[in-house]
Amino acid sequence: MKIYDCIVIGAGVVGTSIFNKLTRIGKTCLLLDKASDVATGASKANSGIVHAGYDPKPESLKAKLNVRGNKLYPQICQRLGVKLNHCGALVVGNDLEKIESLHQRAKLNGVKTEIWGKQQIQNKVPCINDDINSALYAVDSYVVSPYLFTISLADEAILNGGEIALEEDLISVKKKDCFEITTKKGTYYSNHIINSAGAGYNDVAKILGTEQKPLEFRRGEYFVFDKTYNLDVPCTIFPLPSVVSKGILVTPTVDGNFLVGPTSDESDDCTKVTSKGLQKIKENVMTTIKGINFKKSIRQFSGIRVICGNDFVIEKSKLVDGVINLAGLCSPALTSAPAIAEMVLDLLGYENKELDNLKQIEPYVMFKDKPKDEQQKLLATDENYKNIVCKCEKITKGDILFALNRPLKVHSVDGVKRRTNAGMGGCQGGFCFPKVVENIAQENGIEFEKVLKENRGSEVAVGEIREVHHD
Amino acid sequence: MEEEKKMICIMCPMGCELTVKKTENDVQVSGNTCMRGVTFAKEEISNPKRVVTTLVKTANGVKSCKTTKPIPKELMFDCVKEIEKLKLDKVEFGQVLIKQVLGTDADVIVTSND
Amino acid sequence: MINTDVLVIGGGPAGMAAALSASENGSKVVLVERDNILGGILNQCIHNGFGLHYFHEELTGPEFAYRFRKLVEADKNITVYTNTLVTKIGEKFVEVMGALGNERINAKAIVLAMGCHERTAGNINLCGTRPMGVLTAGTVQKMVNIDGKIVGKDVVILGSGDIGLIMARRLTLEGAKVHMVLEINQTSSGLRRNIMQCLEDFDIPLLFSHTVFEVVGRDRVEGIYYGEVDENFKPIESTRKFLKCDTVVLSVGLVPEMAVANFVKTSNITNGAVVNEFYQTEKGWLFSCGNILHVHDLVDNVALEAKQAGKFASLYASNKLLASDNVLEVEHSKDFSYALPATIFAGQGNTEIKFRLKAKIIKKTIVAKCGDVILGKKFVLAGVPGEMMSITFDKSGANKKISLEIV
Repeated sequence: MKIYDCIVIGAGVVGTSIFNKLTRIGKTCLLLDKASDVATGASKANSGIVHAGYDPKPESLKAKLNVRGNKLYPQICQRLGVKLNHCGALVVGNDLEKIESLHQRAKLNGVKTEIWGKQQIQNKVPCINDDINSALYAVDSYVVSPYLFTISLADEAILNGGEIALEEDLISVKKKDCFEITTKKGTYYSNHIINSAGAGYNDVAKILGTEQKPLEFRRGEYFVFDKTYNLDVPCTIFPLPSVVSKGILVTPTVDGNFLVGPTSDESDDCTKVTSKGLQKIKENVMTTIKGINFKKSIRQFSGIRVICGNDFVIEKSKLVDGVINLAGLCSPALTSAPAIAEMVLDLLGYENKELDNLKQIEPYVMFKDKPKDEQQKLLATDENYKNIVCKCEKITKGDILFALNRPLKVHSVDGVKRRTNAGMGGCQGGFCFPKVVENIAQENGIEFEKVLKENRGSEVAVGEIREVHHD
Repeated sequence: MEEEKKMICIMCPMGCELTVKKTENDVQVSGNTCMRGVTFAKEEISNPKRVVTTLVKTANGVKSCKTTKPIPKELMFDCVKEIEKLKLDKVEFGQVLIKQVLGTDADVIVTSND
Repeated sequence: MINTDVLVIGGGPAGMAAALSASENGSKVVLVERDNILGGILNQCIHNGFGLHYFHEELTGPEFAYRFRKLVEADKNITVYTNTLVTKIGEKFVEVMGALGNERINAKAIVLAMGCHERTAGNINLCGTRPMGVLTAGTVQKMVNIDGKIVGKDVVILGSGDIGLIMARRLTLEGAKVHMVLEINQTSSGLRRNIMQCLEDFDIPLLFSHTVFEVVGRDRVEGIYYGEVDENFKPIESTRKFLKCDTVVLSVGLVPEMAVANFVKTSNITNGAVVNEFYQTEKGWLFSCGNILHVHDLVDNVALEAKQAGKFASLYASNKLLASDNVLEVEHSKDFSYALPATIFAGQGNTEIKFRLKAKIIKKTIVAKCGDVILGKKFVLAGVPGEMMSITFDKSGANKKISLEIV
């Protein structure tokens, strides 16, 4: 019977960061999730911004963890080989008083900001609305691929001995000498449990017998724009924040697209997009950016933010000893994730001392982005790099096979998409979707129709032709 | 027996709304602009035929095939069923899969060429 | 490094026809295709109805492609590179990846013949969730006709474009239940023949002024909310209904594949390049034809157009493409959505203008005029926006703007 030091439930960016950190200090750890991949909830559907930290209320957990997380990102991304774009962020508006007070708040949080005038703003962002006269510029704001960051953390943790169990349905948890966690697939044992289930926090808490929290779900909808659309968005642009959210922002992505969003509407945990939400984005973004052609949008998506009061909840359970509750990890949770991991170590009483002989992962660099000499080497040894799968993103079969053979095994089309970008271009997988399915089927030795788009229940076909039976 | 049917002519973009009256020994067409509409309507009401294009299963995946001529419309599904019965390892472009399918004058041939 | 006279990008019907024609006119031709076989989308269009104009015979897509492929393979002046993707177009050269590795191809003239991709759920801002089961018609066509899989049991088709109609029949014949086709417009852009033979033959309802309001389902499509739209295409909420289904097939239009050539001036209407009478873009060495130039209804017309473009590219490559300095702009009245080419060179001989109508016309005459001089007339018994039309006339009388009008 193997007893893990810790089982983390919920493989979002926070859960995976904790999993990664625990592994790096030499603890045995299992990451559990019901989904087929890591980062399939809020962690895949957000703005991808590593916030500087001028916004959260000073002294709050959000402020501390945001600022600390922001400091940790460059080194972690460098280690993982994950792109981090140091693009900066502008908070624009004409209420100079508000901008001043944000500037003061930034100072209290220890964040470097500058107040900019009209000319400076226009020099940086030519497409800024003519009415905008002032802005706060946060130098150390970044963008990252939130899913590739999470995936790479998982890969690295597994390479260093961490274990992961996906497509798991929690049935019961009993505490004897240690925790006995029973799922539909098996039983696992551990000394500690971290509940980082995000939107599923209360479902897990119920099974654990720990504190339920008053959670509020807010849906944020976004537009994604085509890379070939030549509107220059050089940095993240926020309007001055309101009470409910940071407002409709415009931000570049690490891949060269840009995003516009999010809305912030009360919701259940359904990630739909609505005509009302999309309309709201179109209307509101006009106050900051001029001339966006929404016909150049190639996709719309939405993500759910789970809110629990005004601050993050990161605590030891008072009801069940050995459980850590993580609730309400909405923005800036992506930024804070590495710092949350450190805080959880502290709560568990572990020293933050990483092992010496840790292994490094090979970064997710697609063939097209590799240096010329490396490309030549691959071409000489592997025919798969001569085979085009996704023409919009220039992804080869070699790249797909690379993604399918990482420490964290993936077997869904969307999982491959998040790792390679295949299907993220102008045709949105119109041409490459069946090819990716075929590659997954071949490589994993499963039938074409059994391949998943994302999670269980999303099989790409119902069967062979003429073998369909109607109920 | 008298039968009356409305149909839209497909012979040109004009899309004339035709009324076709069929009696025991005569077919009358109205609503047409030109004679092509009459020919179309008569054929459609007395003996509608379609080319069937579908797939034949082989050991090497599916290959496309077609009837070489239009066959009576009501035989379309039966034709697919006949093709489903075939058990073939491999097929070649132009190969005749079924001669005079379902007693019609059309053969089923392979159209796939990869 | 590879050198050639004419480089054709795209090995579908347009690319093959352009390559054959350039070769016929004496050029050394390189034809690059991203897939592993020539033929393009024709290979998955297993239905019939191709070739009536070009081969005077009714063929299926794969048969049409086969005939062309044999001609290309037999042509010693054409070198074909399959599995080859153009990643960059520069001044008289391209960079490719794929089977050739990282290679550069220099050419005296380059022909764009990459066709289109389909408009996606994102392009039409389709609301609701994004589960498995929302697919474009062409993707479904590939999965059914090439991979032999049925994508769903209960299907709704959004948009009545031809591929959507064709797939309604294909899915029905292979065992799925197609519940309805929803068309946001008041008329279909699909061919009348397809509406009859793909929908009416199988009693599949076609609802005009209807659209999908919302897709429902977390992992797999579980249904749609749909209903009527008003004259501004806005959903009328009072007409909202639910339909249980597991698949939504989108057939909502095509977008020319201009991403790699986005430096060229394009038309706001066709989204293809702006070209002159020689299918020449503003970059003299770059030509465009087929669906990447403007979306055609018939592959036969694609091939005929590409044949012209291939010839002009060949002439350009051998410095024989002679044009008058007197460039005549082509204009059109509001009755037309576009006319192509954008310019014609003054001079002798016949020329052709292709166009689409904005609305249906019955028994009207279309004229090409230069000032008050009528250059050509065409009597149209019936014309619809869904059908590309053309007028051919002697241009020798023209010395300034040419305009298309309906009289």
